[in-house]
Amino acid sequence: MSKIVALIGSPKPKKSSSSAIVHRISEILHKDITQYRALDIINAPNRNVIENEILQADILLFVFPLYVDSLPGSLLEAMVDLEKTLQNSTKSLPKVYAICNCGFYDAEQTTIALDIIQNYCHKTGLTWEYGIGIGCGGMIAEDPSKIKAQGPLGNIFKVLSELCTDISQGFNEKKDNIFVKASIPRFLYHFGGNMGWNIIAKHNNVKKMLRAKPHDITKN
Amino acid sequence: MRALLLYDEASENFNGVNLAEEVKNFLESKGFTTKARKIIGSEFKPCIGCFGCWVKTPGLCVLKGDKANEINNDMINAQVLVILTNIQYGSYSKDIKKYLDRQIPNISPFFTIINGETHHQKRYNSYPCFVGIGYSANVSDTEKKTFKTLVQRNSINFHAPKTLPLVIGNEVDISKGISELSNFLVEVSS
Repeated sequence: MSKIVALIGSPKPKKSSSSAIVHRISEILHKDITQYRALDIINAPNRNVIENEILQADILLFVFPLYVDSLPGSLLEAMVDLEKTLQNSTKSLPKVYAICNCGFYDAEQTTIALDIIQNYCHKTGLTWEYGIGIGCGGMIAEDPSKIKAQGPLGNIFKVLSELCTDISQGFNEKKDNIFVKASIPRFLYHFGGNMGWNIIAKHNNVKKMLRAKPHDITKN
Repeated sequence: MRALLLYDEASENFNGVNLAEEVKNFLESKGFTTKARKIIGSEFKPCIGCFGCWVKTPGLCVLKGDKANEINNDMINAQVLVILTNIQYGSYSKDIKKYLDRQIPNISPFFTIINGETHHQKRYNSYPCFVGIGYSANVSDTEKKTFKTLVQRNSINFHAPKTLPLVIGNEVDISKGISELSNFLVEVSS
């Protein structure tokens, strides 16, 4: 079976929802996936070695959270660096799938981020397959076991399972990007999210300051 | 009125033209007191996705030792924000994006609905109008489209009252862009 490498765009040092998604894909495929965190690559003394390892893959997964409507800065930086290694590569280049999870309810808000990865593939010669945009990403909560067939994240599990089928069967037909979110009404997602911020802020003794305006020179 | 111009290093020499200086001078000529800041990625720590800016020190990034909070202050107290950036795959340049990831303290963690979509609520009563100027001598039509859409989408999350996305690929685009910027600034000032 093909060699799969995941480039993780989340800057979180340990657990992240991006690595949880990769963990789940690895379980569905019954196959190890080598993960590299973009932030580690750009700071690595042996960056070129890692980049060459990434390009040894048959399948390259870009898995990242939506940051300000697009890619986390560290992922973008790792991609710019990788482009130089790509230009010198004489091997056949990996097929690319991108998965962007977003904290907003609407999965479609990942559209531009997936387009940026597609533009990157077009420019560098990587083979773009398709992207998956995930809404309600907060519900993954950095825990792979939340992504399961039953329950509110069942839709997401199903799409990831289809991706695994495409990967393992060497699917070659072009697909449009897929957008998927949890089976939960918007008001409930908002309620849960807003309550979560209040609980954490209370724990940090700053609940009354949550709406602070430290840069407001008019103090209104 | 105040303008904040954020630009990356390469904008100081685009086909021999110092775009940063051109834009700054133009804003000044239109009566905007302009603070120009060059954004060098290595001078900023990367956002680590901790949300401390929302739940530990609300409104302020918890990472110390760089100018992100200072620039966030400039942004809130400007009437116009202009970002001048090299276009990278349809995105902002890596330097500009590294800073932009650090400006989320300026919005609230709480959700709201805008145009039928989930977004974050405002933290402040007012936000600057937003001009996103992307430049590249080697940009495809698809990347241009991605960049303009990105600027429009950002304007929703930046709570910008008005937005202008511009793409500059050559000298003709510069004069065309200046004309569009001129009309936009008249709108902002009125």
